[in-house]
Amino acid sequence: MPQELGAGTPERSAATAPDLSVAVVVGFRRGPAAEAVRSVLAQPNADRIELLLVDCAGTGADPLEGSDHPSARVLRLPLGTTFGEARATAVRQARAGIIAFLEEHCITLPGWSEALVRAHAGPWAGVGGEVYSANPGAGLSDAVYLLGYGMWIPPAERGLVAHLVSHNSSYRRDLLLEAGEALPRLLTSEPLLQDWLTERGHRLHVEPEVRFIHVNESKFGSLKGFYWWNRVFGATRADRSGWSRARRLGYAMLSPGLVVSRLLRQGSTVLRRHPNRWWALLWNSPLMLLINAVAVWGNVLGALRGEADAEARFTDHELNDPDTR
Amino acid sequence: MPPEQPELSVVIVTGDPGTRRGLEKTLSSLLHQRSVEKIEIVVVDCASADAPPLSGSDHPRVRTVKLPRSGTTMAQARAEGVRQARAPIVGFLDEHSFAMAGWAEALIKAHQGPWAGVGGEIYNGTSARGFSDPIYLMGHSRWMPPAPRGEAELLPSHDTCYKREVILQYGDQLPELLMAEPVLMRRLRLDGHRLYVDPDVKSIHGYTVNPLTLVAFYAWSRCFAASRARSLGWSLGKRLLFGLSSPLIPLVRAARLFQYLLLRRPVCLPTFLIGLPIILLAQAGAAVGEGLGMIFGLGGAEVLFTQTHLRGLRLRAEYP
Repeated sequence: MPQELGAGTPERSAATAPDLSVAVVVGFRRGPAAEAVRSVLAQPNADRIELLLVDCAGTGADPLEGSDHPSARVLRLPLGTTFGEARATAVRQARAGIIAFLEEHCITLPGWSEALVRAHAGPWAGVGGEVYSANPGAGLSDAVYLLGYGMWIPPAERGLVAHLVSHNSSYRRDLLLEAGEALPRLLTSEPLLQDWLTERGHRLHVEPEVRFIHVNESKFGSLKGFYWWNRVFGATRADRSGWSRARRLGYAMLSPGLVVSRLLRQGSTVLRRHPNRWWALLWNSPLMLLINAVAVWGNVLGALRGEADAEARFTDHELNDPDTR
Repeated sequence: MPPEQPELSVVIVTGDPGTRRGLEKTLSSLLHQRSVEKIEIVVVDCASADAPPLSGSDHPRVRTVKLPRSGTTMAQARAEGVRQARAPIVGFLDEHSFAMAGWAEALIKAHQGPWAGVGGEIYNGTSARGFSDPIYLMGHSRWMPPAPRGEAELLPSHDTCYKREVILQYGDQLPELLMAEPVLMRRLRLDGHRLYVDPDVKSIHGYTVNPLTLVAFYAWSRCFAASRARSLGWSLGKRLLFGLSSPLIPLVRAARLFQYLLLRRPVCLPTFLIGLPIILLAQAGAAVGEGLGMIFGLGGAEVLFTQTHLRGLRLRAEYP
């Protein structure tokens, strides 16, 4: 059970349940987190939002800016809590029927929360939005943006999709809770969570009025974050899908081709909807190839040797490393 | 019309239906500000009389001011927006820009200080599209996030907010000063006023970059040079000197940008280097405009610039 602090702590009755819970997991990088928090609290319906600040910086860390806001609740978790565990704690503690995740290096745009609440009135298990880049032209940023967010580059297309943007989408809380003990792992490897939902007949929806800005990784040091996340993903996917030893080996042998096929798939995803991005794709393709190689390497080692301490390392990189973006 | 006195008026100039596709997003970003009750949005509509109504313009916080399509320049439209505004501070947004959460509150708060103009951080809404990243570096690098908070010599054009009574003091000269805002900012500073960057004032700017954008650079730069020389009372000799030196502009500005990025944003240097031909080309268009503007004045540049903004990119000014 997390230690709970903050102005929003007093029990709310069911009658005053918020429309939306927003979970922001925060580590040592308090500055960017303050911007993310400010952008949520600047939403017109902030008084109908429950902002869950999941603080994984341990005792002694500076208080989070915005934690004294009436809509905010701080859930303090021990240093070393993994990313997935922190997010799963937020799901369990949330009071609203919908929970949205926002990374601490993102900023929501005006109307984000209202559009989420409105979209969730539809029959969707999950709703995601349109992603803008906060740091274009900075190091790896454009390559990361094209590779990781190609499907949701503005103008994003409203409608049903197979996958939503990872780590910054929203879900019906009751459906997430059905995942039980698997929830933390699924919340780290979110594409697998989305697969799990759609396999059970649920649907995912992109709503382009749900807009936010993402600060992409820009430095070469961030490649290790890609490796660790993909190692966790590779291990979780192989385990959950019951891959045989032979299949894992076969996957490893095919991996050089996978690097290229991923790049081609990502490129075609972008070009299909944004043909005017060919130039950016062309000159970022060497970097995209490099990132894909690191990612596939992580997938392969995850499938062959399990995740080991990759999630702990990913968490530390994602929440605490000051020098990645 | 909103019954109570607004604290912030936002002026958006819009033109033909084809160029106002982004306006819906701009209006939405303002109408979803937490402090929307303190805002008045003045849409200065320079479209033809039979243009369809703007989506969102029926909102109680929005007032539409219709101006004739023919003969109204961008600067005249913006000046009319200032005159029609009812709030003590007036901000501008282009239809290809939009405000981020907290934008309005941050502007109102910052204007409690002694600043004639307040600007903020500019994000690129069209990142990794065409050549927009190098153009973003060229035009807005000093306001890229994280922008330093503090007094500044220059604020981002078309995304800045002024104290209304201060800029109204320029009377009939206001349209000319609004034609190229760096001139207005220079004039404000010469008159003892101060400008301020507040990074909590965040907005997103969209960039269209295609060969005709070069014409827009030319037109704006000619307006800038003509307005600069006339408003600041430059002698013929000084104008000739600047005009004849204009071929150096691309190299000087590219070198300055390189130095700035090297010292402040080294992570952006690869984009600068790859985009350098585009930056030099755009600055060549600007150099031609500034050279001609210094020596021969405006010519048809204001009409051309207005048309690129309100009717769509084009090669030359079209007169009715």
